[in-house]
Amino acid sequence: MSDVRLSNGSPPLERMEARVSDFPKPSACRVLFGMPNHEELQRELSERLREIEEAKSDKWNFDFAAHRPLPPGRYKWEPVDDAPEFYGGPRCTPADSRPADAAAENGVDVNGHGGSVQESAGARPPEHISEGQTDCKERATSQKRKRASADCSSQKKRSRNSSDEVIRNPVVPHSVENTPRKSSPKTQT
Amino acid sequence: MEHQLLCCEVESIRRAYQDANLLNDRVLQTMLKAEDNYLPSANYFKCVQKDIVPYMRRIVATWMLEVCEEQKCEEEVFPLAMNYLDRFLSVEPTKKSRLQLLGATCMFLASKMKETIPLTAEKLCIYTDNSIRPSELLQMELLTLNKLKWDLASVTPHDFIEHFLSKLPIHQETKQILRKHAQTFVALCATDVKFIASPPSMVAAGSVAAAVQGLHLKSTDSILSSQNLTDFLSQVIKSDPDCLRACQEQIESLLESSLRQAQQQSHGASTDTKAAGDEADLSCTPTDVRDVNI
Repeated sequence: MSDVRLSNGSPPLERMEARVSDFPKPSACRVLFGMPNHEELQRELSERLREIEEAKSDKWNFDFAAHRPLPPGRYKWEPVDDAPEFYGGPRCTPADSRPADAAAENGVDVNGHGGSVQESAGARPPEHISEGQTDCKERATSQKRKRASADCSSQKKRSRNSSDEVIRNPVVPHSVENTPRKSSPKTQT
Repeated sequence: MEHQLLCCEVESIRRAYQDANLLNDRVLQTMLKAEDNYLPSANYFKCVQKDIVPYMRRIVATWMLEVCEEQKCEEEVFPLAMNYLDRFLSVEPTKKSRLQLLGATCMFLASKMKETIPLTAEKLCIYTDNSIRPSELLQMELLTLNKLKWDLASVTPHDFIEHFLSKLPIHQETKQILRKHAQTFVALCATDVKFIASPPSMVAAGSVAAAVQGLHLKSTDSILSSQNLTDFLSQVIKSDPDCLRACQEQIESLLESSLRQAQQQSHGASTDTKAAGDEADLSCTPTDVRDVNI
């Protein structure tokens, strides 16, 4: 019974044999619009992905690659101590953000946290929001006004509702839990 | 006991039974509301694309359908992939030489959404005659996801078919044939640019109506008469009966032309070159649908 395996767990790159089908018919394997130039394609794709990365970085003033907040911006990033365990896995905590983790374990209040994101926290009144938690909605609401004065200048380039709501909210995930989710802002309205 | 279980598991993909609780009106209303969020823009060839023209979409769609059929994908994978493709093209000017990569990527995503055992990147690359590489596919996947705003839960015509069938007074057996035919029509519509901006509920209703018509079911019950059925379904999807009728006619003429094409091609030399194969595949299903026993 425990042998039940419908997938070997890594669908994208393996398990060709599990598919219930014959080998591809040669006629179905074809190039439709000429052979692509791989170098050019690679360059374009990297470029596009970099643009997306940068746009995200700008939007959240956070360097997702290095897991580090970027100083000036709409959001102030702070560690929280009550993020769900799921977000605290090793892949989310690069070496430089360990202090936050440690603090979280000690149960120190978020406002008192020291951590790699402290510099950005120092400039503004402390806020804590832990997204991805069920109780985050109320807290998000209570924090709303604090950020109301934040520069929303770039609102114009955002798409409607959800992102506007995000702006109004101080989204303060931190290094342990940097998967901001739209759910909390969204549910407010 | 254990042996039996193992046997089943090896032979085929296990699937859950249809949940009848999902065939209620609340779900239907929600889907009708949600479907608008996933409609591509009708005129992206004019407004967005410079390099891509309608016939190229047909070429890539035909290829995608062929791959999905060969890989025995779930029926919804193909229409869902086409929805992704159209939504991508609605916002992103794309080169002709990237269209097949995009098509493969959309199948990759749709398959992951709908299937227990999704298509692999490698396999899809083989179908492009290795003209694209798995790494490129994976990067394109990320790009596509971003352009689709990570919202892949599109409503497709398939979601509606079951609802419509559950409202018709027909036998279980007939229902199966009807479903099969309607699904085939839906796939056919997905290959045709005329239906890009048609709401999925409309395509589904038109397909069911065309299937009922084609199977000559109308004599058995008055609700199945052409007029009544169209009126009834248009009420269900809250649309104008004339719109639905027009859609149904469009489906029927599309079916007819693709059948004619298939016949011509099968009469010609059977060197099943590219196009011939697909069209035949496409329309190997219903035509004078009564004769076809799927």
